Amino acid sequence: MRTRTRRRPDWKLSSALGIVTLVFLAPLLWVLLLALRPQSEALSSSPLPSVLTLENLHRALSRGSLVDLTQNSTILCVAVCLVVVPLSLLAGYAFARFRFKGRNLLLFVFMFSLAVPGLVNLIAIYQFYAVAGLINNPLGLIMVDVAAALPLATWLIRSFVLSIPVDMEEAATIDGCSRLGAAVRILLPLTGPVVAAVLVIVFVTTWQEFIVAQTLMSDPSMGVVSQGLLAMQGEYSTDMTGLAAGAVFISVVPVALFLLLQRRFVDGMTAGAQTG
Amino acid sequence: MSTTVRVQAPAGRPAARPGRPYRRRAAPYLLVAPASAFILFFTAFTLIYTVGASFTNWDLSRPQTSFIGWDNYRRALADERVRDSLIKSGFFVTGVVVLSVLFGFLIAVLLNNRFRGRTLIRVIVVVPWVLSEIATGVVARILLNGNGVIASALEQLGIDFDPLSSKSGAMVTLILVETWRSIGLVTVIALAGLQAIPPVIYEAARMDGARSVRTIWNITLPLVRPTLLIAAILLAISNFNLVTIIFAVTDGGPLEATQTSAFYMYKQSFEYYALGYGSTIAVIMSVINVVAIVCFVLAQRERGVRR
Repeated sequence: MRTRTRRRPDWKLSSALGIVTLVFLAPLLWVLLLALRPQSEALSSSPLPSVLTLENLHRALSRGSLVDLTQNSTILCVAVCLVVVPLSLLAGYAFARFRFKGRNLLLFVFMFSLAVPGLVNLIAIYQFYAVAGLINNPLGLIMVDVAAALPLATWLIRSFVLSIPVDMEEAATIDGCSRLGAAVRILLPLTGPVVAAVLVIVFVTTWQEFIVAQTLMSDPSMGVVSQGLLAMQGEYSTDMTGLAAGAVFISVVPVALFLLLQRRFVDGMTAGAQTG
Repeated sequence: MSTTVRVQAPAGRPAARPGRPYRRRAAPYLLVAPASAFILFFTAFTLIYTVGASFTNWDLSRPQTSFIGWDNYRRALADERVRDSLIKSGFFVTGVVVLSVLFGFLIAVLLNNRFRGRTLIRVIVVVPWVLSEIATGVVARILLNGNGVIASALEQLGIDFDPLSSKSGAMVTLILVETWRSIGLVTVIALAGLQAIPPVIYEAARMDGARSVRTIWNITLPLVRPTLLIAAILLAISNFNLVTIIFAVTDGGPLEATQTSAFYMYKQSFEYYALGYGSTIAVIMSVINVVAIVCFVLAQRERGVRR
């Protein structure tokens, strides 16, 4: 009988893992090398470029509006995070610690909007914004993305608060602390990890914003990075190394943030799928 | 704040303990109000508005909008493009969900072993999920284009490679790109499910002489099935409503071969500005979404019962 000890190197496991790593890493490495390759070597079959160059990046940044759009995207993501974190802390706490009429219905609405992406609501949003003068207004896009990020953020905070025993807050209220005071003094200092998870997930998903911005921000200078890259693809579709450099450029921020907080990100993804 | 409001038991447990009656207060409503206002406005209210608009002939190229009853729905039922787009959405969603769940689960099983570098591989698998969809799509197009790197390498061998110019090739490409993005999500979710399985169960299976492949099939899979089901439904909903990656990779083409319902809805609304008809397609999509969400809620309940 075969025994599987976990310490002995297992060639089957190793080769399977090798294939997995290759499938996921190879395209990333390839695009990175393509971005750093001289333009004349775009179609070269040799995996390594003869020299590494930043001329593609330079070209991608000088002809497009990626730098300005990066600023827009950063402002958008920071603003959305700044609104979502306090709002989801309040709502997540209330959902976890209070019983009130309509709570379950409201929870269902949150779950519903967690599942339904903005696309089907885009026509109505477009119309409201046209009436309210919020087309091509960064505030309008921020509000849509806040609404898109809130359900998951609230779920994560709620699950976190539910996992903390209520006893300490109860003790504090007996000692004369108000209920919200107890929450602020006892619960809030514990929320660091879950707030970090919310921040990284909200930032990274908001950075991917495309379709709402494409619809509401028709002025090319008001858009986000995804729009800039897609516009570049439309205009310079033959400049493969330049497009690769642009793709790498707009991916640096979310990837760096993810690598920095990957533990929190993965925890958040896991908890987000285990709502309910 | 009053100190008489008692701290409630966490949700899911039975209500207040006897002797301390529950008092309704404004506090919870004030706390949930800001977040709820955003969500109610941008989902519930917009949904109602969209339903209303779906009964009009609202079109930005027409000066006046009037109520036309069920006409848009009759038109949608007779519209071959609507039918085709639903079929394409079906192909796309099924392809992505089946492949992502299958490979996501298998990779999770691999990562459930203890070995050095496990965290690193998990990070690598999740990276595609973090990248912007447009960036991924643009790169996929460079890579797979008829005059791209793979094509020119294969040309030297005399092989014609241009998946994006053929109808089925474009769809398969989209499915594979989106699968590459989504596997990480399934892996992470499945891994959490796997780690909840007590090792005792595996030891018992091994004592009974079960081979590892059979262990995966007969023991691991049934135990994480509820978790996988939830991941599958989440992926199905998000991919059914996905347009971004299509914009970057195929733009709905060639010959509308990758025009899913989501893409067709967007095109009707914001390219042809037929917002009334676009709303109708959005409502049809919303009905499908709601069915999927009900499945999601039921799957959650089932998992809750099993635990």
